[in-house]
Amino acid sequence: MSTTITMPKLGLTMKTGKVSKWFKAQGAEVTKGEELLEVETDKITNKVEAPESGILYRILVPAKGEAAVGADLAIIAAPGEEPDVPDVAGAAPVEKIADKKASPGVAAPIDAPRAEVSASPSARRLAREYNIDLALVKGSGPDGRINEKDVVDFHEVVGKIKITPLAAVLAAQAGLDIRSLTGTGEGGKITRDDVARVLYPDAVREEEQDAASGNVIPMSGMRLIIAENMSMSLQSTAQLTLMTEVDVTNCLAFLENVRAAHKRDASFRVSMNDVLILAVSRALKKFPRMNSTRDGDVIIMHDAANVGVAVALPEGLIVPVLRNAHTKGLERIARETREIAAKARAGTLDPDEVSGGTFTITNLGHSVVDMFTPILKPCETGILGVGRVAEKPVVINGEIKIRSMMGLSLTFDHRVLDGAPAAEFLNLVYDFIQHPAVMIF
Amino acid sequence: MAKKTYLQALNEAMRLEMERDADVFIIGEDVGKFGGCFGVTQGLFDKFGSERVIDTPITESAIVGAAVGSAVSGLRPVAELMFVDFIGCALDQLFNQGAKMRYMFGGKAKVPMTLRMPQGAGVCAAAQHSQSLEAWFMHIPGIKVAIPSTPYDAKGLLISAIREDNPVIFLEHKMLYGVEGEVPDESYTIPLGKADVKREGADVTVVATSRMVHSALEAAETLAASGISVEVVDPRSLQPLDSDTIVESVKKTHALVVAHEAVGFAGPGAEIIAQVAEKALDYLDAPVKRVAAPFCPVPFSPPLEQAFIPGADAIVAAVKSLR
Repeated sequence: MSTTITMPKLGLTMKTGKVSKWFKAQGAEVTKGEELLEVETDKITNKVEAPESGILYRILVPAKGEAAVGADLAIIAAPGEEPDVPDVAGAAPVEKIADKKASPGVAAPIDAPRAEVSASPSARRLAREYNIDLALVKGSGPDGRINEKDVVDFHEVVGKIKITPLAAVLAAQAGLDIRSLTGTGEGGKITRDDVARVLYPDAVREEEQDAASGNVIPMSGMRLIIAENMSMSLQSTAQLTLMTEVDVTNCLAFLENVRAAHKRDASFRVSMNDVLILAVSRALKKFPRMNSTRDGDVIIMHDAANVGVAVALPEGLIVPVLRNAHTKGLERIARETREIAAKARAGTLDPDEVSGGTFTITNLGHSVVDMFTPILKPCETGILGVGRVAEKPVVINGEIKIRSMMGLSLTFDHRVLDGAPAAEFLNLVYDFIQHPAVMIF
Repeated sequence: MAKKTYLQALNEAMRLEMERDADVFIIGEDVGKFGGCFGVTQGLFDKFGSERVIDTPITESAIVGAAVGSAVSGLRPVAELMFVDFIGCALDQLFNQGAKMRYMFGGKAKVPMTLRMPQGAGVCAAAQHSQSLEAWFMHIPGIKVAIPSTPYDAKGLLISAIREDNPVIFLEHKMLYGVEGEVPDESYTIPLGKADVKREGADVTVVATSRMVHSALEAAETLAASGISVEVVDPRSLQPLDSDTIVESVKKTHALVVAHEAVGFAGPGAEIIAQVAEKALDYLDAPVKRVAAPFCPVPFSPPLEQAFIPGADAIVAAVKSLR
């Protein structure tokens, strides 16, 4: 009795996977439970074990080949058995594979068949409405067809699962079906750790094993997601950084005046970072291309300046988004930024509060760093890095003065706009910070 | 309300219309003294005389031709062919003349004729006297097609047909002539193009015509015992077709079975299903099914004829196959 190995579905959004390597050659003997091949998606890599012992009778998708979820990858047969090789739509005819035996060990690349989900039109309509991936729904109709009731049931089950907002974000980013998760939090709630345990089981296991030695820190959970986002950003964009130093002496005086005017109101606190958000959101309205995101071959321009504010947490950086910053005054910017930063630290951000950003500000002002090269958040066009404020000698009208200076580092995607307009944008932010009163106009 | 047969209801409709309008007359083979091949016109010759109930020779082309000609000249003929199967002899009169005149004369000619024809299998009359040909007539712009299933509908639809200013093909099922139902004595009309929900249900819509309406109702009863709630929709006329009522029902039940005695291939069900696919595909929760006769002439052998006619069992099986 032969066994067919199919492309596993490693996450909610996984449609296709790549066979990164075969650990066994075609014709080799395999033992049940032995690692047979490695599958990778754009998010994760997983090893697939042999479900049965036997001979690896035929590899249908060779290493580096892509295949749809559920597509046949290989056949394991009993010794001496000659099972039929499935002649699936889109795949090369069996005979052709057999013919290629002239060059042993090299299987012909085959277009993977598309895995079709059998579902009624009504079920499809509801799945669209609920934003449900039908591949996750089990069909109860004839021949496993998914009908409307299956989608409704699925929707109701998923809707009742208890999960923390951060875990939901991480699971969604990794394309994980949250029904497969076991919650270990309060009242069985699924937490960030539960997601990490499923996404990176090896890492978590190793983490536990290595905990004693403390020498190895596995890339897992949020760390791995940041790692992937950052390297993807650097690999897929043309980013460069413009730097300048701005005189914030007036700005500090302005902040001092604001604080003095509201000193009886303990809740009224305004920081340099809030002035920066104000300045950037106004400047973005004048340079709409800096407020764009890129999606494939198109640049999407945004009316709203949704400014992301990077917040450092022990486990890594998270960027909550202040929506419609361009419509908000300084007091409101200060208050709402404080709120989302507090939520970020408490781990209670909603998925909506970390998405939809159009520009990001990252602040190292509490350190000794003057300037740096921030990395763009994927898809965004600009990120402004803010350095410390330090007193420095500055030449003004031929005289050396001591002024408070602050470094600004603007990274932008040169694919989306060129250096001159980016410099103009930075210039405007510079002017706003240097003379905050200008922003009134 | 009085119980009357389908046949009596038809007879009453013609009598009432002949009393009401002196332009209405009957023409056909043996429709006079003999009272019609199946007896539908009995008594009308005695009441209205040979001027208004006209026997013709065995010539369908003359019956239909005379009906078209007299209609366009201002009369309201109710013509009868003994069997729908004989329409082939009179097709040109019907679809090239009767159906076209109103259009080709720029609306100046009216053709207020009704052509009554019995159809359907079940009386061991073999392949040339047992067909169900409604799909032919649905396809011709310029004529309307009524296909009643109950005595009540038969009377109301026939009165509407007689008062209609366009040619109406009126298809009666031979096996329904003896079926009884409540029919008011007075005159009433049922509009052409208005479907009737014969039984309300929640799980599946069965659109059935003519004799199959009764099979569908029987199937609905059987399926109710297994907890499946069937809605039975009878279009009553196929041209114009009340697709709104059908679509509305499918949007409620999310499943569709179409049942007719005509052969399935390119039958009336094909059009009904196409309408639903165009207007409510996203509401279908199962593939659509047709319950129809196999694609072959109606057999003469009684057991084979019974096997040919789709019945309640076939509808029950079709509905169950969806689940």
